[in-house]
Amino acid sequence: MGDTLITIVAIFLAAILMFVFPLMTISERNDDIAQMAAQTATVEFVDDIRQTGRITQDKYDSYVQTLAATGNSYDVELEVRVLDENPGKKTSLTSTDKIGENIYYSEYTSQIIDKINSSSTKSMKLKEGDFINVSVKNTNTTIGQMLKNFFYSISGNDTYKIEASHSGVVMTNGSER
Amino acid sequence: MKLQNMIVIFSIIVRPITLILSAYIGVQIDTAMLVQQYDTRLMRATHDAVTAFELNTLNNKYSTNADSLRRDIKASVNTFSSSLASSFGMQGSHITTMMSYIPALVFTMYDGYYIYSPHQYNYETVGEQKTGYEHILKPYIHYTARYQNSGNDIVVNYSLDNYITIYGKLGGQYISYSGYLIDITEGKVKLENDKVVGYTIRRYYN
Repeated sequence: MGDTLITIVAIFLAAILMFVFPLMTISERNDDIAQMAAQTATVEFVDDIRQTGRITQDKYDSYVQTLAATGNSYDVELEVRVLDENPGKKTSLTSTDKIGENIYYSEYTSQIIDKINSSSTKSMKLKEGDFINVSVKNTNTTIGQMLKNFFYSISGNDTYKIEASHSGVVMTNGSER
Repeated sequence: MKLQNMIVIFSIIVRPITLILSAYIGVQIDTAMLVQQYDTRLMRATHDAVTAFELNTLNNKYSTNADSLRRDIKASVNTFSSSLASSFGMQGSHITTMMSYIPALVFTMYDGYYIYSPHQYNYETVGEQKTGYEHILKPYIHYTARYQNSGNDIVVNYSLDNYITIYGKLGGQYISYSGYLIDITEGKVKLENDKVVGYTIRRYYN
């Protein structure tokens, strides 16, 4: 009886050691690779917008496709903080284009997408001094998350595993092409 | 002892050790990644501040005027704070929230620098003396040194290239000179009748 019990425990341990833990390690590495790919794509997307001053439908679709190629589904959040053209200070030396002095108002994902769709050139122009902020989080449960949750789960946490964000000042006025 | 027994005991001993070691290494990796992320965000905010400064001075024909320059620098500090807040997902935070984590911002110019750093001030409230801190832009500080010895008292203003201005008393006489500093060590300049007729510029890279 004792021999049988120890044999069963040994088989169980062998199964876990040979299959489950390597699978957990590989799936966590996959998540890390997906994280790097998402961060790289986000940085390229934001830097392109900062250098050209335009958000186009093509660029956005290409960015979303690159993210989807990692095998996960993502929630993309765009925010443009537009430099208000009304001077922020009521003095005789006000300037409408000084970056860092005037107030900003924000436009978010749905407003930006609406503007792009309703524009004849399928793009949204930004101006020098505006801020662009893009963040992306995964919405599906990755294999790594599933395996981790099987063994332990942290309550109130772990809703996303892959997160990437990038932001910066737009360096040029976008032009109609 | 049977082989299965030894295998089970070995697994029971070794597995927790490897789990603890991998957790420790995981924490080290996470720390290194977080440090790298913070460095990247700080560099990005600095880049945005310098971009804002360049664009503001480019579009301003009075940019060399001291008051205008101070205004451009304050605008650049606001841009730095906004960009840093955006990076951390704290868009819309007041400048004081972010700047309380930044010891100082130094803007090095051609012939001096500005520092934006905390300043201690005292105030009284309900008959009680209190101390507060506020980030302010300190006055412009030139790259200046004073040299004194018997009979000589000169002040030298330096700049980021070799241009210097010397004024003060030298041998009892008041002097005021300015120009490019040339190293007249032998081999570096060609002198004829105590006049420099040629020189070699060497750049040293550290």
